[in-house]
Amino acid sequence: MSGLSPDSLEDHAPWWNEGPYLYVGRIARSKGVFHILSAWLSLVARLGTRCPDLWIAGGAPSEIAEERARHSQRRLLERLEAQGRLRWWGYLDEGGLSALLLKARVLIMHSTYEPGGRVVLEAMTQGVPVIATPNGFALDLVRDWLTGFLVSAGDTSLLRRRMEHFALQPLLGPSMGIAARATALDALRSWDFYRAHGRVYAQAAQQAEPCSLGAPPALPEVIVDRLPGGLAGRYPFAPVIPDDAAARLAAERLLGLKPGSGRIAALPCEGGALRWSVDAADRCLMLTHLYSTYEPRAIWDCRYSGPLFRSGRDRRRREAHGSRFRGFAAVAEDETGEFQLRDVPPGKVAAGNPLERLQQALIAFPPLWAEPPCSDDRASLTAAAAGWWERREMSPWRSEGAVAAALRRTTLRVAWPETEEKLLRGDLKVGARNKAAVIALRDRAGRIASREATLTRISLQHGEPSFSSIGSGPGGSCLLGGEWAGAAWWGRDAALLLLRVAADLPGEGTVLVRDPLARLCPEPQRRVVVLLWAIVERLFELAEAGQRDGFREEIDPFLETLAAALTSASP
Amino acid sequence: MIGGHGAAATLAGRGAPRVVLICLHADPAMPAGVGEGGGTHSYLRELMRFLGRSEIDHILLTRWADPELPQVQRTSSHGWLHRLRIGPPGPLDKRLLAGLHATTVAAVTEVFDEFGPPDLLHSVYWNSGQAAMDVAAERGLAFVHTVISNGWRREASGQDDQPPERIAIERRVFHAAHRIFSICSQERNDLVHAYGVPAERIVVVGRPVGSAFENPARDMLGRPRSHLPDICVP
Repeated sequence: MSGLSPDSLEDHAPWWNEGPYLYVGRIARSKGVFHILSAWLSLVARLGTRCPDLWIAGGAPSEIAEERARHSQRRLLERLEAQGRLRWWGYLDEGGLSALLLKARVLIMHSTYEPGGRVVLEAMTQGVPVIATPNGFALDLVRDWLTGFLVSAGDTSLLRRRMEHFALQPLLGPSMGIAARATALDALRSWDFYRAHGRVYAQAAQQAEPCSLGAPPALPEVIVDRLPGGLAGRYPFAPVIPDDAAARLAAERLLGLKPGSGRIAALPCEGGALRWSVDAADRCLMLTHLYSTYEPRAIWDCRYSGPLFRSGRDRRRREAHGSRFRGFAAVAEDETGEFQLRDVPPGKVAAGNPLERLQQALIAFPPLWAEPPCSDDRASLTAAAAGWWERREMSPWRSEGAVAAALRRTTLRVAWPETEEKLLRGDLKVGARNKAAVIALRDRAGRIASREATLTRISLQHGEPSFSSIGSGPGGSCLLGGEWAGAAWWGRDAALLLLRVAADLPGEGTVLVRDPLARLCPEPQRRVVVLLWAIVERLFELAEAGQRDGFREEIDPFLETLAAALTSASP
Repeated sequence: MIGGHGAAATLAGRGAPRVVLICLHADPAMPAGVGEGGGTHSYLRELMRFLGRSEIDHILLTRWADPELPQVQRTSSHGWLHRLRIGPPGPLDKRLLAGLHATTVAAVTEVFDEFGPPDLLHSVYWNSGQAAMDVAAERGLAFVHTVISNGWRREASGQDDQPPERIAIERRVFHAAHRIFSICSQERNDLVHAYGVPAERIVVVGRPVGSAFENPARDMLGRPRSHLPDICVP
């Protein structure tokens, strides 16, 4: 659009899109408006003015009055209505509903039963994600963390939690909306409603055999675009996303190849990056484009007050900077600064390594790494795991969001003495948050720690809690993702140990990890995730204490106990 | 729309319509989102719009649920809406429709007698399916049926307000229909697993959405939409 630069669009889009929750439909008991109101009121109590408004479209005045009268918190409702935070729009036609959807953050549908639920389709078509009960179109088209969320009818607690995600991270709505719209448009094309009716009419009028039409149209699968929606998804307002042709051009420039001589293939997007494998001159390399993303931590962390999105430009700058540290794979940048190339085969640890299997299992369920505890199953799992952690006085498990907190804390980290020294001398440039970590260390200790004590406790953090952050470069195992290099706590950081397991202890690692995993693979993946982190944590502790030989004796009973607890806690 | 409030249009002089839609459950004149107006009402409007644009002669038969509306209305140069007298004109608890089956069949037959039989019957919702099934059998016509909610799923989701005979009637209708239109895969699976309908006889058709949703006024960056879709002929 003339007069609007891409940068200005990025800057202004967030406030423009901070909209309300929206319900569209009849005002009837089976539609669950009562539950939506209850969840919203609970969220208002929790978040105060940070909670988005609620708009309810549909119904005649008498129906709306009846619904309002059902609520025990009538006075609170009236106060919120007077403040304009709760609006009853009544019946609106198509144009009116479309206008409301333009301002909505997410559509909420909470029907006990819905044969189709066309409003779900309408909202998704317009690029609005949906929180819905698993019925009709929602069951077909809504996928958690991709196009919205499914919530069982009557589960007000989970509904509130899902609504909260959109309150804490306003960019979640438009980001999921990209996938929602693509999914809905694909569904509409696949169904071809009118043509399908016409074909059946023509055939039935002639009383032809039904089978002559061929197989019924297949319902479309939810689109899994290369750019992920939902958690850790793309910043929704990024104006330009490079395509394969641009990636090829960049690879050719960086490697000095003749046009068309190398082989380049797009890989699944991961870690907020578009990735391509590049095969050229007997080398297999990885080309990446880090794109603008929103900050996923904001989704579940009420106290988070940092930026809501990270620009791709800044991320690439950090990546280039962090990758200069020892232990990280070096990157080369193309002249535009859009692409970065590593001399590392993409995505996998060395074949046959015990971590490979774990890596593959985890890649299949990426959102679980960072998804906050929501379901009853997760609550049971948290409770089961909490005992083990609490015995080790790891109190964060006791608080809400404990799984997420523990996963964040258990990030892959690696320490280098010289970097630590730089940090303490102020030579290493770190962000404000990391500086705060240093200050917090001193405050928590009740005094300013001695230089020696601090040296042993501050490390360089890698950041991404993923086994795919480990690669096999020409010099052996290395870390990928220098973007997240920064100051962090030393003591429970696992990257160094993982590197040891991956590179130096294949036999022991195989025995330790494969046996319990083989038993647990058929179980829900989230259990495996928790187990893995527990194993990693314990491995690290024992290795640090020089007790590696005693690991099996200690960890096996623990695994048995935990596996039994998790299995019995399954729904 | 020709034949507005109080203007008793007539079907006299017309040839036999090709398609007769039967839906006692919903009058397409009723908007979705108020009272009982919902997805079925929109579905009927979408069908009538499609048939009109496709120049297929059609009549939609529904129950005369609002006496302020005319009994007959023209909806396009190829379409008519005919409200049948099934019980006194006015609101009626839909659970009572099953008890008015004979009246319904007689009213539908009367329309046929007056205007000739169609090439095809298309019923929407279960009690209309029962009427279509019986009329089609009597007249040797084909009929197709659209489910839009089934009794088994309603019961499974805890809704106990439906007539006890509903599921048995649905089973007969689903097996008698030439084809079943289902709007989503959940419903198709219900028909296959709970009603034993052969999967190849079910067509999942989804639902269309209005152009306002496909082409909203602006995108999320605030850029106005292109007006080209307004003048493009589908």
